[in-house]
Amino acid sequence: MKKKLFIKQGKSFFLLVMSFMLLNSAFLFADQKGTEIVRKANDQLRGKSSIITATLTVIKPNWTRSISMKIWSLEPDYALILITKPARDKGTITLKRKREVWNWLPSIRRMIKIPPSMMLQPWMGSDFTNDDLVRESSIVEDYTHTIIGEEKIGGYDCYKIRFDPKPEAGVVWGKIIAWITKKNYLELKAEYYDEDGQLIKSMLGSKIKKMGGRLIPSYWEMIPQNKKGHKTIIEYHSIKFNVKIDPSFFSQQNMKRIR
Amino acid sequence: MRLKILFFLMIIPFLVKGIDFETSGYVKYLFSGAKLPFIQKRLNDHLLHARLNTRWYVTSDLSFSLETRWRTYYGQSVEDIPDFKERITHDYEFSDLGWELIKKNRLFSFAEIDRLYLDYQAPKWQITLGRQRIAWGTSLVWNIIDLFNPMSILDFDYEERPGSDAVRFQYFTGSLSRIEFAYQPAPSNNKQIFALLWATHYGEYDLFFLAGMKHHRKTAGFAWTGYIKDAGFRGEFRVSDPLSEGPQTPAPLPELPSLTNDKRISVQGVLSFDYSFPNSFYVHSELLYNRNGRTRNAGFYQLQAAKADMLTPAKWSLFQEFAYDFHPLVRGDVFVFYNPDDRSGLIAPSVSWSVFTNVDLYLIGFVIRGKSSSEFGAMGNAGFLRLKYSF
Repeated sequence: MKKKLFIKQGKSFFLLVMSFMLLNSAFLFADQKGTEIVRKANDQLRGKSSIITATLTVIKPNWTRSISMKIWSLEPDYALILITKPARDKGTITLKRKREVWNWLPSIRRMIKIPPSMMLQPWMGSDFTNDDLVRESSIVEDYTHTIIGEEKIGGYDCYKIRFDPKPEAGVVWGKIIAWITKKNYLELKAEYYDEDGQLIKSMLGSKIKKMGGRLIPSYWEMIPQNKKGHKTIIEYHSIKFNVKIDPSFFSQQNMKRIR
Repeated sequence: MRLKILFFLMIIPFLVKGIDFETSGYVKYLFSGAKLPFIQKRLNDHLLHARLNTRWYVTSDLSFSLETRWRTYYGQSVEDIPDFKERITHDYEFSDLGWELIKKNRLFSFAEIDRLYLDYQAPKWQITLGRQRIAWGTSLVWNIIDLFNPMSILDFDYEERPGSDAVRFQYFTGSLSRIEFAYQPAPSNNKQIFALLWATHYGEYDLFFLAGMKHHRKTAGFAWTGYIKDAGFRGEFRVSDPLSEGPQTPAPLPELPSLTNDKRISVQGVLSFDYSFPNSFYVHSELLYNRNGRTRNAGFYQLQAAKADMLTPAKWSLFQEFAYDFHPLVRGDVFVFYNPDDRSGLIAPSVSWSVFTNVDLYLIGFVIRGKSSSEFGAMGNAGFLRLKYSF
């Protein structure tokens, strides 16, 4: 059952990667001028391939846990994730190829194939939910967006844009409001509302830095509403966009090799 | 002297500047309380257990790994269990690379090297030479296609398992496919193992085909791992020359038949399923069949079965497990082994708690049911508490 614990950790890592990918694609909204702004904001965060080092931190009123990793990805099907911290999980490697996922567990020197049912469970109570992670791709078609104003966020002039679900779309959110900087098109804030118009959670981007040749927020907070002391933070340490990696890089052989 | 060499090997990376190396490991404290059927007293023991893993990258392709394990026991088992040392150490064919450090009344301290190997990786192939772990198989409890050192779920405090002194060559034919050859030499023909493994991929399934010779018996098998919808589905199957053609061992009792008299072709099979519900509830079932297994008196055959390359002495073995996260940091688990022929079983409830980053607390109990001659009835009831710090 020791191994079972490992596996459980492994599946959660997969979810983390999805979290990172969310940042790359959560803002794929479209509608004339709004569309244009949003597309540019999205392009700013997105690359066909990337190498990322990042840390995810879950903060709860009584405890906190962090996990650091290096991620090689080739959108949309391939990813390799190496856990670099904490020590108890260090060296665990996850390979994703389309729907298939494998974990390499260094302590038992074994590769274990992870069933899909195991992949989509939150890591240690992260505020990123499955719905965030799984359904984001449909958000592109499922919402319309309107510029509803202009506001300053963190000293930056931003467009305030509302996303409304299209009538036929089976989406989770009643609406989303996002703030995107006028210059450089950086998404600095997003609010997620349920169908009754209640604010459920907010995402904040800050610490704008030049990474991988682009200006991007390097620090993201997901803050649930009405849950005092709860939050999830993702911090990017380095990003390389559009690196030369082809699908053969995402191999079982490389799983045991990458550092 | 050998201990000095070990010490020297371990400190090299710290002495030589510019060496690219990684270290990791853990320190564990384990308390165990056990009531064994053949010993009157309850045995209470303390174990301090450290592991240090080092890997030096000579170049980016060539690395050298050394992993050591340090155990110090204090308790009644040291005094009361005959052959205590034999019971807690692995018998390697060439050199144990193990050292008794202290032996005094209730105190016993032992250091060993369980990994010592060179690894070279070319773009298409890899060769690994020395004491290493070769872990084959797809199932999560019983790995019958693991000819080298199959894991044992009850030995939860040593998930690394002893190494195999072997040479292993892997040739990668694709992202998810390879051909592997592994050879474990031994002074006696009866102890050698060599095997060829072909790993390939079809649809959403990893497939493995095995052919080899273990302990003088030819063997062939296959295994798979994949998905049925969102559930995990895996299995292993192996046939081997009859046990009568392998090394002979005596029957556990003179009036019982010996396993190694069996002249039938050996057949073993495993099926494994698991599924996780969105609320973290986890269900895992496994089934093991062994044609040579005993339907009666399985308890007496534990030792002989292990020597005869059988994962259990039983003909049929069932495994069922449930787990659930009570809290993001706390996971409860319970698994059951059941032998349907002698109706004996073992229930193991456990809780693991991530107390701090890198500090884990683990509680597990083994509760047995069955007659003393049955597979599990011959084992003991036990409880364990473990605190682990990883670095």
